[in-house]
Amino acid sequence: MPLTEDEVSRVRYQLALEEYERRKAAEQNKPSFLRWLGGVGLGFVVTKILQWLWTTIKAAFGLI
Amino acid sequence: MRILRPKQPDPNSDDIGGLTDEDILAVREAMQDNFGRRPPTIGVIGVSGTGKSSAINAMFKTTLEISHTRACTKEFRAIDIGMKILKGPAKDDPISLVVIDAPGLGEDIRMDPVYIAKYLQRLPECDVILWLMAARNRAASLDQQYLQQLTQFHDRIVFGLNQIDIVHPMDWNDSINLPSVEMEANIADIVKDRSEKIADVIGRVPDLVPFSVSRGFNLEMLFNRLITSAPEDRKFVFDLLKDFSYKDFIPAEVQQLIQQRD
Repeated sequence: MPLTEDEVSRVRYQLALEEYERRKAAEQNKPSFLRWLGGVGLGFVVTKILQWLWTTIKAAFGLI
Repeated sequence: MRILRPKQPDPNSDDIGGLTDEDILAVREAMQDNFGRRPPTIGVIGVSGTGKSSAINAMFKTTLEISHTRACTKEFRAIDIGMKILKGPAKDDPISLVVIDAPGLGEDIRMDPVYIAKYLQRLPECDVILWLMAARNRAASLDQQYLQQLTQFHDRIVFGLNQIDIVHPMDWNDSINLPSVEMEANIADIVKDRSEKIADVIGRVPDLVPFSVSRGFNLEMLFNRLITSAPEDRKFVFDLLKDFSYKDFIPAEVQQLIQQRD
């Protein structure tokens, strides 16, 4: 049985609604990824600084 | 020390612009390390029989055991699901998704305190919590009681109203895979009613998503609400695991027809 105009417009509405939801979530993904990347990068830098500091302290006290 | 200078990389896109192969490798290794130590985690809770395991199966193409007659999930289990990243620079890399699948509350009065204690213990691990209710179940007091005991997690909960395909008068329109007009009105009424009842407990109007696992209706919306409710720096990883499109559930001939008319 062919679809009525009402059915077609309901499908269109549902598709548009779900596409809107998908795009809205996608918009949040890029900043989320960058934030994660920034956090990982910061953690890496802090770890390296602490390693350097620890090595320096040990050297200052003649431990190495 | 190498410093990454990403030019707005998009984890969803295979085109990652300014990153070199070496950068991409570094990002992939960081993802493996980071999400290996703390995998993306979803807690699924709600009263017994609301389709918790089915919802997870539908969204992540997993195979958690389900039963339509008895409470299937008897143990509080953290299921480590080995998955593959489906898009972006780390496409095809392995990743774990942890689903904390809990026994349904309200199935046995003797067990509820035990379950609540376990919820309190396990829910802090979750990035996001999916709280499911069944559309045909009018009694909301159990949900209200349990929500009262889990106040510290209210901001992390996404509410889903499952089984809307069996709302009165159950005349789902199969040709377009949508509820009939009358069902739609009834669903809206149920959503309003349940939202008010939840709002009484959590102090805000919840974002309650009506959906149907068996029809694939509004799964996209529910999934996207999970993403947007996850912690800011971890939203993206859920999207990388999404294994369906809302278009999968619209009959192909209807999609063709719509395209022709457009």
